[in-house]
Amino acid sequence: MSGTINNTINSIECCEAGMQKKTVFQGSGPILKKTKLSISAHQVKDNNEASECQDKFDDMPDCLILHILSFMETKEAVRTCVLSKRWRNLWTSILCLNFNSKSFHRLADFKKFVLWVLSRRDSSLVKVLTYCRASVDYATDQNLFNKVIDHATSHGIEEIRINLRAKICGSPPVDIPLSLFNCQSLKRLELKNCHPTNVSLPLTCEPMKKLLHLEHFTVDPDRAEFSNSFACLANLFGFTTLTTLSLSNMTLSCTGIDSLNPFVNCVNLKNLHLSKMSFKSELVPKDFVISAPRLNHLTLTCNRFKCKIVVAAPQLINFSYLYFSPCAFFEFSIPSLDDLTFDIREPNNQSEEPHQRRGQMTSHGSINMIRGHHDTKLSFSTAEVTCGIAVMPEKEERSSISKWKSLNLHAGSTYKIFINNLDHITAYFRRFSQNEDFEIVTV
Amino acid sequence: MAAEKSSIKIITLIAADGSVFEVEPNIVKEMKTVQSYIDELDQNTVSIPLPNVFGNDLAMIIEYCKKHASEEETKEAKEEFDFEFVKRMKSDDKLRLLQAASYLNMESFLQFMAKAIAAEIENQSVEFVRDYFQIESDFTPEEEAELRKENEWAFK
Repeated sequence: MSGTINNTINSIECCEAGMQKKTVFQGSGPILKKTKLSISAHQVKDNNEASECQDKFDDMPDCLILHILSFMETKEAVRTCVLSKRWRNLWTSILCLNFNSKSFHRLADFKKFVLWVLSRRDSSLVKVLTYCRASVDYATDQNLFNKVIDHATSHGIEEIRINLRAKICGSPPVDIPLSLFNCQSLKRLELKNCHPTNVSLPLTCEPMKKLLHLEHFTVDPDRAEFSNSFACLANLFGFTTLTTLSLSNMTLSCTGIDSLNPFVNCVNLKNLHLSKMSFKSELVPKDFVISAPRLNHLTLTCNRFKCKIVVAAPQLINFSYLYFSPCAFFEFSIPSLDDLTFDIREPNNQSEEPHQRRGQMTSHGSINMIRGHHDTKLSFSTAEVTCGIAVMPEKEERSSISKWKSLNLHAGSTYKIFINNLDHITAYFRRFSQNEDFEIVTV
Repeated sequence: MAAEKSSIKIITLIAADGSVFEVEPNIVKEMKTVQSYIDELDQNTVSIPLPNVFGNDLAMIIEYCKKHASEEETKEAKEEFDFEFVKRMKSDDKLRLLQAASYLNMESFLQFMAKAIAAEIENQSVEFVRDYFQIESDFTPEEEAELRKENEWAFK
């Protein structure tokens, strides 16, 4: 540890740009300068050889330090104020606020800390807000929550992640501040463990959100206006601008509708992930239609839909399905299945679903692919099926089946066979069909 | 313009210590500083001096870029690579690479390095961080005590 704080690495161009406060680092990239660089390069080299020690942060532009701090919890970032005079007020300009009550012994301390941080942060922008308040009881500090959200939404927030987990039981009630719904700068919103009490608010103007992730988000199905929870969510958050929608661990209701088509207004939706979703038992639609004009990726994981799932997404390129409900029934209404990748799996007993019984023989239900247009070709690049029933429509022409590049079959986790033509596939299924779970329909 | 760009086969990068790296054009796409330099030139072969990046660091950056530019590698393989990549680095390396990433204007690599550094100093004592990065405190003990009191909620 020699005290050589004689830095010569001063030509990192970002220093110049970075010293100006409030520079957004992504945009403030350096430009290759051809002059003077060769001289400084030698200095850098010599200096490096002469001494390996130097105050490393001394030649680091503020923008880079802020970048590092933005990956930490705000509490940790604030603690850097005592490092040296240079660091004293650096944290007040961080672009990412990350509050987590778990880092505090008492919720009272957490509250004081959050309010203190907000009061210290003049007009600096906030790009990302992470707010996790795990309460011991079934209560949310509404006042604090409002202050944090209001601060973020008035400082150019782009991404918000909220988790209000109660220790004893899931989703505590919360009034979602109006400013959150009307925030125009917001692009990504994640809400976990929330039970909003003011969900009947009409959407005045839809923000340009791109991503919405809701998890353990309770929509009260007993109240009259929630006869269709999806419509309620769409009304609340606005679905039309979304490119990614992810819903997880939610119980929904749907009454009086034969065919539920909740995503029909998602005109920009490219990615849809539904996991651990279920309908309230007696309130089940006959058909659950997933119809979105631009949908590319559809992931269904461990949902309990006791109804037919109709996928009508003309631009679908990837369909991933993790089994849960034994009576899931699919219908694909897609003009072309060319280059569509199917990935159908059962819960892996190690990772995906811990409550799935080990070694249990399951069938993922029938996957019935009915094609609306008979002149299109069925060509899977990969179809991954876990021992179950594969029902192909009888109208299917043999020639189109032969276009299957490969069928990857897993029986449990032990078999992995690649089969190139239908005879082998049926032979394969026959071999494993002593078990009553299997039914083989050949073309 | 597009035709000119595609005609470039190999790009030569010259590090501060004079070591030379020949890479494919798709490897340097992430390096916006280099890419903008290439875009300005009409030549078929390009040789670019990078006087602020050392050979060792440049080799690591290229290794990273190659892995991440590869379409054959799965997401898992890339994550595994990232994990190992960070593991074999000392804190010095990370700081140098962060600065190099900034100089080369590599957005995702910059994020990656900043995250790795943040993980190292997070949840460490002030003394540890100061020592680790060799920051000399220019506060008097009284000033520091005052600051700690002022920001007491962060030190609870």
